Amino acid sequence: MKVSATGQTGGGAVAAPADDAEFVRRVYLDLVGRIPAATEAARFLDDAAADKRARLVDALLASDEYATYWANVYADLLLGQAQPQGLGRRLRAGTVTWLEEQLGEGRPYDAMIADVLTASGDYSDGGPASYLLVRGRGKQVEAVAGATARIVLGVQIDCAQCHDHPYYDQYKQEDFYAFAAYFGRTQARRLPGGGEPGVRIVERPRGELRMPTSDGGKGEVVRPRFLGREVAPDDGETRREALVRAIRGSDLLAKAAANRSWSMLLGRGLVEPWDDLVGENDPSHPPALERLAADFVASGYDHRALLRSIVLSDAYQRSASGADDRGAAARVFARAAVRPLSARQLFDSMVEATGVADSDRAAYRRRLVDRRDAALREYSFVFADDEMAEAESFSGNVPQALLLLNGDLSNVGVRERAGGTVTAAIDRAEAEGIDAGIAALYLSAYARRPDADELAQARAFIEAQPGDTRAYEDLLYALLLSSEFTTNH
Amino acid sequence: MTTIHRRTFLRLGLGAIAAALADPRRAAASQGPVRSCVLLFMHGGASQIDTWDPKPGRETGGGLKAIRTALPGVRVSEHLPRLARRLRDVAVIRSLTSREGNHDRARYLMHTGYPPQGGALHPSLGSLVAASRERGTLPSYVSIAGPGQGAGLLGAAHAPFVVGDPTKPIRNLTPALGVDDARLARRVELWRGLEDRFAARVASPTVTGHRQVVDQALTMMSSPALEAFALEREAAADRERYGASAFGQGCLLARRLVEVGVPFVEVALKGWDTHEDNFPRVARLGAELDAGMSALLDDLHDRGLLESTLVICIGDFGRTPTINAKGGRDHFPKISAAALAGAGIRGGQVIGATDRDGREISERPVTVPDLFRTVATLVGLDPDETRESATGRPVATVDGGALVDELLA
Repeated sequence: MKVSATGQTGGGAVAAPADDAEFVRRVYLDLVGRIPAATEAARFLDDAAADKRARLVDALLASDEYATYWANVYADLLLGQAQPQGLGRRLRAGTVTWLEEQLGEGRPYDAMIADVLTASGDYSDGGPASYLLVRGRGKQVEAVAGATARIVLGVQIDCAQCHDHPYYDQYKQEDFYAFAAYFGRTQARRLPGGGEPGVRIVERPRGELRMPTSDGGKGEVVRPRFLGREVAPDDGETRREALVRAIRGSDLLAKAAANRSWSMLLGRGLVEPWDDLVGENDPSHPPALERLAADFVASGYDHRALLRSIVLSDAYQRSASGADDRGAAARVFARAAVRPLSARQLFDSMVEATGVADSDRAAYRRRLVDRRDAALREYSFVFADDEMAEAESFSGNVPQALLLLNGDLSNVGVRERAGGTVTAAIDRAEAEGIDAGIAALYLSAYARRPDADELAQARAFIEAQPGDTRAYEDLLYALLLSSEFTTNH
Repeated sequence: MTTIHRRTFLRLGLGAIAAALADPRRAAASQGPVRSCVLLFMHGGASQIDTWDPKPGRETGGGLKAIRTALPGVRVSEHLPRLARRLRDVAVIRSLTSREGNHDRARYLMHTGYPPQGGALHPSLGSLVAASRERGTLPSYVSIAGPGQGAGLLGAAHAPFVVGDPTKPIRNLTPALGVDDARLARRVELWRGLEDRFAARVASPTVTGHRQVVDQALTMMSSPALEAFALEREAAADRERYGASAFGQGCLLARRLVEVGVPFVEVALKGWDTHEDNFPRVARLGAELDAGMSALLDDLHDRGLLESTLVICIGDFGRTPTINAKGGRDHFPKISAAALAGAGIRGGQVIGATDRDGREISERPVTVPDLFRTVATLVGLDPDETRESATGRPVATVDGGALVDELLA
């Protein structure tokens, strides 16, 4: 279903604009991958300037956290979401470091993609070359080709691997193998030499890909061709370099990036799913996507500018409040989608909301850092057990609920201890009254202040256990278990 | 009931035992002929020629022997000796055919009965069964040693409960230190208030689903049926019968979950993607399948549960008859094999056939929708019932297909 972000709303109402509290939480989660700290939220809420949203967006995009968060998002996209162990983990780490540098220095998106696809030689920490190794595991040219078409071009040609495309006559099985032939001379291996996580990419001077026959035998040699278009390597150009030339000349490169980013930030693509753009110059692509993609190209493939224009759009800045009218509202982006937090967003938001990272007990901080990888793996396992799962298809499960209910981070995190969120709230309550303590907890967990009803409910709970500060722990625990905390909305 | 007592009872084979141990909430629910379903999923795509459809003496047979079975004239691969002896209880399909040769797409197809298409989120068979049964105190769809497949448009409440390693305890089942029952109850009460308030403002399936899964988790934490996860309660000899592998122990756990009334259990056997060195790998994988599945069939039979439990063995796709230069077999969706046993299944037959090299189906092709229509009917689902997807599109339980009449008892 192809729809315009700003098109007809089918007669249904469009939600009110998101208020500042909705906006600040949403934009922190989307741009830097965590909720705002209580102080950050308060500063934004209390800022009276008219341009404060644009200024916040610029500040977040300029932060190191933006580069780190999006490096991880792109590493998940390129290498799959599973959190590998051992060598795979170090390879992923090298890729994240490389992506962080690229994003941090504002490297154009098309140049980053070119580096990933034309990697050649030895990479001692994987870097951009991990993609060819990880996606091509088992020396499967078909797997790299399918992933590249989907991720870089937003086209699912991999279903044409075994048969002609089921519902578009655009791509035949031969087109898939012709696309795969660009990788037909590429060999990706681990660097020899023990535990080093390096990658060696070798482009052989010859070798041909053959399209298997219907009984799985060796078939005809297939020459490289780009989605039905002739793009042969020029003199001195490798096949992968020719592929990158074709990709850079295709409208799908910018459209796929724009549609994917839109989908990540609004819960749904302008074309849905984001990686089903079907073909080049498709007249049915909605004007909003055409425009977003054209602006992205005009900006010199500036990733920050792409995100900036999305999060400052009207569609992004709508409230999540409203009835569950499913189809209609989702199609026209009439209100903000409620999206479960990813494993990474949830973990980092728990750390932020509980203040465990700010604890003045050094041993505690050390333990958190040491255990971060292990904890994140557990979060990733229960939150994204299917490595290919997109966030939108994941909506929670019992292991996730058990982790939130009984896991270390939720329980240790809410304990009263120096430097933690609960202790700060108790201090506020003692100095300024119970309501101030409750407000501090709401600000830490929800990035907003409680309304009168919420205050009254929480006050009744705390007053029912006079002199027992554990009531504040219980309140923060309940906040962290709630949908308002575990979703982006 | 102590462990010794229970084991003694089980050895005596008293039919009442399963009911006694069963989850009380589920025991009360009305049950059709198929109470539970166990899906054995050959993750990566098992070679049909090296398992259920051997080609001895042909180049495509790879030098493997075919052995006699309990059925006159029917042979299976030498790697399945135990299952061969139990073939009177099993229906083998040698002519299952599909068009999806990419792992992710094929797994989606073989779990939902639909090819992936345009963002529609088809529920897996396990989730469909889970949603159709009264919920007990344990999750209704448990997936062991593999991810299973999500509930799609049915929502988070029917998603699989994933058990990575069946021999390890389930994590995070007990409240943290210092949180007694009263305190947990206070916390949960507070949480419910927050949830009500948010749901009133922001209606969304994600919010509804979150509340449901937290409630399910809380119910599970105090479930007496959790005992089913304690494989260490089994005698060493019984555990060995299933094989020491994750799959074997997963089959044992599947049996224990079926005993307490869990409606759908999936056990994955990973490693079938044998592009290289097919033959040594198939020997090991075949032995794991043979031990796990035959022990499961035996134990279900001995407990009187096979007649109410449907056991299905399928995988991503089949593998090429042609053996490649690395001694491997590649993806081959055109032909794969399936094995079914238990509730509603007419065992002791082979459906469909391939030509002598296994390159073409020569008799009775069975499509994935055919298989799913048959299984859906057996487990009491309406194959033609439609549900609304998130985009408002109606999605039927099954993607067309025709009933495979021969399968039915």
